[in-house]
Amino acid sequence: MILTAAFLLAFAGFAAFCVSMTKHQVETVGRRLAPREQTLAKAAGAAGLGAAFACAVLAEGWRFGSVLWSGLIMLAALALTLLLAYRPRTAARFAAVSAYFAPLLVAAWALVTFIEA
Amino acid sequence: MKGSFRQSMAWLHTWSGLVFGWVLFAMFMTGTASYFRPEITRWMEPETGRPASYAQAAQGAVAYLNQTAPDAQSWSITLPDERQATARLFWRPAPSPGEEAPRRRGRSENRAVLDASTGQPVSPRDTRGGEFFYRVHFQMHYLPVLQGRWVAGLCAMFMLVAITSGVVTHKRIFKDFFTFRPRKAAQRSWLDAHNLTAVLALPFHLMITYTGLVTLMGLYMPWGVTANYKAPETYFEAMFPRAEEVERSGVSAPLANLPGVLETASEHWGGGRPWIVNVSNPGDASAVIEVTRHSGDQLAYAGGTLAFNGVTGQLISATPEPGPAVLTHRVMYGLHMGRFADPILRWVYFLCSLAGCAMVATGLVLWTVKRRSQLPDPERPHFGFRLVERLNIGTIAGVPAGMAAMLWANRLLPVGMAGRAEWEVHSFFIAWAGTIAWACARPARRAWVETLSAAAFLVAALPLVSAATTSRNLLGALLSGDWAMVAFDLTLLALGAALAFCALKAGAYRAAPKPRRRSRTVAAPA
Repeated sequence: MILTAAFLLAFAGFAAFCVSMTKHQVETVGRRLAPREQTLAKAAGAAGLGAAFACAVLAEGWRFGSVLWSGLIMLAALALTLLLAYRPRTAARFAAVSAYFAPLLVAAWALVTFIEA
Repeated sequence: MKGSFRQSMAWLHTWSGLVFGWVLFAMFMTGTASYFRPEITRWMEPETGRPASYAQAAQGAVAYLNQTAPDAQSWSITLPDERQATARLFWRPAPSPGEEAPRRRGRSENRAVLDASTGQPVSPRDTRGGEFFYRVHFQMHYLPVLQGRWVAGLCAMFMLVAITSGVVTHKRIFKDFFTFRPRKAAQRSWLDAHNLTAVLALPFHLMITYTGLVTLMGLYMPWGVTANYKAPETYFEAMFPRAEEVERSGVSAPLANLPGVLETASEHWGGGRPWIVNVSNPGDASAVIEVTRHSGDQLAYAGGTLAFNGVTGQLISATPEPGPAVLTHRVMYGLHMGRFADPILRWVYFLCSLAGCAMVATGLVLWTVKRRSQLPDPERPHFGFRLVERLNIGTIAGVPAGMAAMLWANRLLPVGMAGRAEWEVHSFFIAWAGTIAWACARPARRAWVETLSAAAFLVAALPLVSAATTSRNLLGALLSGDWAMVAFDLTLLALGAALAFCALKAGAYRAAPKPRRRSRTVAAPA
């Protein structure tokens, strides 16, 4: 559960980075972003990858968690790029859905862990 | 090699990648499969059962050894983990008076394979199992082991050269980070695909290549050891301390309860798993039980050894914690092996490693795609171009076909056949060589489609072959909840589908109008 969240957060994070780049804006969101929005997207991207790291560490501890995070973000970036090539709109929508559901998954995980403990 | 730094790096990248690319592709493919070494072995030994707890297996092993080799000089038990279905035993018989101590490795009559849950001996068919893919990926085959490791090291070194020079060559790493344009001209999309698989999994590629070299650094760069240790033996003694051999006292005493000892060991390690158990002088008052920790318990690929009194079960000694240099080496070793990985992380490793295979393959193809348009007559390329093109086809389709052929041979060769395990291995190389020969005999575009289709068939039909020849089949595994074997068959189907997709794409590429038109306009005035 929390690892799914980590993957979704990494995916959404990379999607935000992608949207912050001028060359991908039209194909994903349909318009050029204002400079302020670009900065925001970059910050969101960094936040997504950071949150994914936190999830991986929560799930597996510092050692294994950081290895897992490195692997998960590589796969997330590969998945995003492949989806972007064939279905750019779907990629953007999936990223938005990921960003929405990931915190819910984290909350559910926290609740389950709390109840079990 | 003239020109700017970037140009010379591009030259280096192109040629180091090409010359070593075919061997590297085979190393990457077999190395990728090695992440599932225990599962492959289980699949290739259909006579064996299901994984069971190490405590259960240890009990069976002691019972068997007490009966078979009660007065042996020593026993060695490799316990199963949750992915293995057998315990592997060997023992050193007591040397008869006057005879020199026999070598450490026991002969085949001093070995046994026990079912993990029942403790009964099983005799799986003669096969190298997943061990072959693991071994061949760093020491080749048909070569003396050390020479093979040098070949692998040379290839890995040039892989590192290709990665580093590739990073310099690639001007737009961040600008093109998410860029893949499959519908653009061939050269553009192949370059995109190569960049994509290389850049997005770059941390993995760098890690796996560098740590791969580190695993064998003692062989490649022995000078640190030779400068500090007069004799190599003293180095090995310092690195891998072993308990001193004790003479048999002649006073018989029953062996301590092994599962209990293992439990103590596990507690000592904070829940770590025991892996290899060595018992010297079993049944004697001087007995010592050494328990080595599972190498997949931590990032570091060596967990230390505990020695117990073999009669009372008291802990005698533990190997000291390694120093920082040794620990660094072991962590790098561990990162390469990925044995610590839980199923999710193992799949992450596997997929990143597949991306590595794709990186090498797309790089090889890119060499021909780039040069095809510059050929004076694309219908009749020069010898070098034809050679690269044929080796590309023969290797990119041939290695997966060969790996599948080995699994076919595992199911189809008669169980009692002499030299069976070796013939399984031969079938890998025969299929690979056959694919290269086929690629040389056919027009290139047809050869791509035919060899990839053949590889797809060989891989995807394996679950059926297995179901027809043994008791291992998808339905049975599903019904009994043997998820590792379910995943094995499904993975074969998925990989077969991926190869079939490549074959389809290669077939569609043939129909692309652009290269044809160009060849016609060139051919027309002649």
